[in-house]
Amino acid sequence: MQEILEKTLVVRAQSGERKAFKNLFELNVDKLYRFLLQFSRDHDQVSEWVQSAFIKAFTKIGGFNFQSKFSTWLFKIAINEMRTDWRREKSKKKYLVNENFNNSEAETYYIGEEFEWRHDLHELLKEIDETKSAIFILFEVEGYSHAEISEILGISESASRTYLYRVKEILKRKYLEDESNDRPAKIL
Amino acid sequence: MIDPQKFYKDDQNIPSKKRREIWRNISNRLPKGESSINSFIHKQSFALGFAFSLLLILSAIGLYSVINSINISKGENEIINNTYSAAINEFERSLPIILSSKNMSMETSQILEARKEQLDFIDSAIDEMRSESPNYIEEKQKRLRDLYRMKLKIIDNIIELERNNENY
Repeated sequence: MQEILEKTLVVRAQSGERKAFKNLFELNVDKLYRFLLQFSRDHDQVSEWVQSAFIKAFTKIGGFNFQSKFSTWLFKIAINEMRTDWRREKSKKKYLVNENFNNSEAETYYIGEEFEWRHDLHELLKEIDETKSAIFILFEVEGYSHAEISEILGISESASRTYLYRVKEILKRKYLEDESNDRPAKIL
Repeated sequence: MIDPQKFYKDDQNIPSKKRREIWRNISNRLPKGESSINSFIHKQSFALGFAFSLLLILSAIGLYSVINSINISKGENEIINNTYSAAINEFERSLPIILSSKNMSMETSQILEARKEQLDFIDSAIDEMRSESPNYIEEKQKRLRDLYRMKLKIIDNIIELERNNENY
């Protein structure tokens, strides 16, 4: 239903209807804002990324060909805006990069047992590479498929799977470490 | 999958004030030309569509008038020609009496022969014309009328000949 509504709004926005574009904004801004906020603590900077993404989406919406969801396309634009911004700030060392992966790693990919998400894991997510954390959030929280993530981040599907596997391993390790630290010490 | 409500902290949701502010900024920075170009295109296509519809209506009215006038002229011409034809038939009924008359001078007889030939010529011309083009063509109706008129004159001339012959 949401997809049909979104498509209708896109068609109307393509004909230059601003009201339809505002509705698209309302539908997607929450998700986009909180997602981008995972990569910066600066709300103003995130607001700027969101604004730039929507403006770019509006100017390019005529070329949108419905091959993907509008939100997928919008996230791709937003991430590119964020990357461009980071590249401009040369002091910023970490930014989303495309890496080459050995596909065999993806083929033997295995996700271990689920673990309960805790807010303190956010800090750990911030410590790891942005591409990996972006994949984790897009897949595990926002519900995007690996195909969609590959489009958003400009990486292969197998790379997306491999990255997700690595992030989960890191988080699980951390989770288990913390679990064992929380256990009461044995009385000898 | 992790529940987004659990994943995102409360302070990571966009405040409504911030949301309004972002939209205001976006709205101010959106290119204005895009929608005005589209609205121009819409207006132009409306005007073209309207003009085309008007042209179509006028053409339909024109076509209707032409067909109507053809029907009217067809009716009038047919009535005239039918009247001619009926009059000719009436005259022709009396012709055999004249043509079979033996008591006529040599000169009258020669003139009568010439008139008969003319009548035959006009009759074949009328037959030919009737079988040719459709009846509603005005030019054809005019020519037919001329031929009928000519035939009437010849018949009238033959009847006159008989009267003169009787007097003679």
